[in-house]
Amino acid sequence: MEKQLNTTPNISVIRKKEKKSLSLGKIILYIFMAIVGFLQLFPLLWLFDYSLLNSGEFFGDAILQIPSPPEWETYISAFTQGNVLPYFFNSVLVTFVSVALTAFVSILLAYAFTRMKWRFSALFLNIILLGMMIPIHATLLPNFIIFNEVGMLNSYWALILPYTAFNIPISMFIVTGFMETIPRSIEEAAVMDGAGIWRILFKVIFPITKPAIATISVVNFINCWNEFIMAYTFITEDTFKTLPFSIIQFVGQYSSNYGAQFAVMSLIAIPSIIMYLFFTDEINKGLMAGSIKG
Amino acid sequence: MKKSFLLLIFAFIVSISLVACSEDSSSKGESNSGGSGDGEQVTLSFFTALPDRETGMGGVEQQIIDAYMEENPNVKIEVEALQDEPYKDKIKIYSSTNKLPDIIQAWGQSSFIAPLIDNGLLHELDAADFEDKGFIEGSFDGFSKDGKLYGVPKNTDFLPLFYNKRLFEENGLEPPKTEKDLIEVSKKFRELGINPVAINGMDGWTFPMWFDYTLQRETGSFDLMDDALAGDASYTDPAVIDAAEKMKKMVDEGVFADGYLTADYGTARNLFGQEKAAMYLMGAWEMGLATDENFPESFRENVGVINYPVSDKAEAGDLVIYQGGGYAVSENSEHKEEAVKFLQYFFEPDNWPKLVWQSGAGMPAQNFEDYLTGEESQLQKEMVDIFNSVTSASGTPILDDSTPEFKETIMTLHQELFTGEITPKEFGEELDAAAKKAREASE
Repeated sequence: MEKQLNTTPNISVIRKKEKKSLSLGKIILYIFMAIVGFLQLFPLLWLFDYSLLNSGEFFGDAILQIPSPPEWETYISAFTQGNVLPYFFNSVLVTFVSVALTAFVSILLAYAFTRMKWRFSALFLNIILLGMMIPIHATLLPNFIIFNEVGMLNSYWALILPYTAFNIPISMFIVTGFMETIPRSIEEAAVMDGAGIWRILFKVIFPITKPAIATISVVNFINCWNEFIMAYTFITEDTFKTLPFSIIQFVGQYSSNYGAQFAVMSLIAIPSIIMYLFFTDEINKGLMAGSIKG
Repeated sequence: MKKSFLLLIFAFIVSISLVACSEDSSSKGESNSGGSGDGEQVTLSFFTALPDRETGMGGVEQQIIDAYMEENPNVKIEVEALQDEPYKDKIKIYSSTNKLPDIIQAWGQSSFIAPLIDNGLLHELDAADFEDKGFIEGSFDGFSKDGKLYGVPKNTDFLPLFYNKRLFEENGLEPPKTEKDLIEVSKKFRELGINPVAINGMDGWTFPMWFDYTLQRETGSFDLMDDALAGDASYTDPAVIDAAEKMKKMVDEGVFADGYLTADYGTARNLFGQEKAAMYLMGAWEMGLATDENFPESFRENVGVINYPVSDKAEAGDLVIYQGGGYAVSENSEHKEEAVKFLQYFFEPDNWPKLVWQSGAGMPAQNFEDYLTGEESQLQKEMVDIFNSVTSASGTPILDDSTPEFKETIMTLHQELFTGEITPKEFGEELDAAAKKAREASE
């Protein structure tokens, strides 16, 4: 009894101490995290700040300038002169189809390469991975000629196909790496239960690979969302133009409307931020799942 | 399972609808491009390097296009616009597929137009079609080869020195008349903590044009530059070395604004506009500075312009002046006649020259005296005075007079000269080597 009575207060004292030292550590940690957080958010703040300046105020001495008065008109011209809305729709369509197509093809390919045994599979895997080394510039002219022959210039496909093709190698790389960590016994169990190949693929493999899919989707989303070189090469008609075209609507031959450009960029940044917010959990899971393989 | 199948089905539906979309548009395109003829629908594609279609020169261009379409309901002009660099990239892609748009923006300089002409991609124009439009004498030169005309110029460009009158007056300084004055004045501004000359060193193209001036002030003529490029003289000529030394001296004395080598166009322009630099060396197209509401009023009221400073061998009227931008018609176009007709309309005295001058967006390559309203800004008036003072002209600036590779080299060489990576002597030697290489390439 006595012992117990003695020990409990002791423990509580220790706990209190621990709490105190912890909270001091935490304060430092919080301050540190706040600084890191601010540094991370700063470019966004900067972007938004600059979107409210008028063009003459750019390139001054200060890093952040207080807009006086804020030029909200930049946002109005983003929508009127910059055609943000129709271009936004095109960007969303092209990006999402490309990302979905890339993910779908990557799963199928990755499964075939990691789970199936066939001749030359290593060779073909390497060929696909070599695709990572092809610079976009080298493909512009041949693609233009092909699309021209097929009559595919100025269509959504003229963007979706090359975007998908360029995203597949790196996506494959990530997904195959992930799939190799999945224990074969899971599939064996599924086979015992009478699952066919498609069923295994979609009911068993796909849910496990989700974190990897989320990772590649975010990366591919950013790639497609910001892409401009291919877009300006293959697209001339307004109907199919994507968001980066909005920015150049404000470029004069010599001087430009910087404020409106920043306004468009602020608008373009929003979907990317949302994507990150939605998928950070999955990406974290992807990293963690990789760490406890075995 | 269900979810993923739904996703799959969704993807297929989207892709099918996409195919439908793209087919729709291509069939539309075909019906539009049917042969021309009286009253029949004609679609002209118009490719320009002025993406901003609402203000400045792009705005004027679009205004004339819209007016033309209204007057000629059977003609539709589809505009495609990209900035300079992407524009030049895409022209290469278009030309390698023989698919140039009907009307393209062209620069009257070999580095751009010569490859297009040599490959037979440009339609030969009849100078008589534009005879009555009041073009300035010699303005067609850059657009011609072997006596044949391939393009029509739209602008007169020259390089004056802008300055901020308030900064000069408040500090009791006179605008520089000679090159020596320029260095002296710059030193004074340095002492006062004001940047002397703002310039876009990162873009690189202003330096070779400035060098045209320094060398001309050294020799009294613009010829040496061109002769050396053609192989009739050499860039190792003492005059060239002296001129390079003179430019290097200007750098060392702090004539150029702080950070001039990393400043791009917007940075240099805003430095001047925010009254943090006293002078600004830039083309005549910047006369809109006086009305640019992005800058404070005290700047707009005080911006002035003078001739580039002289030496005892040169006159103020010896100008780096040339006709840069213009338009050309594609040889493979199905509607060449319609395209030429549009260009004739475009250059009607009441259209381009009048509108571009009165909007303050630029100086046309045509006589515009009839359109002086008297309501021009002080800056525009001073600009006209400089334009009228011309005694000799540089023609196409040296960097644009040869191959694109030569252009790159000469721009880099200037930057290296200024940072001290190469000496004025090496500058001349390397320039000579580059010119030789360019001559061999074009043979």
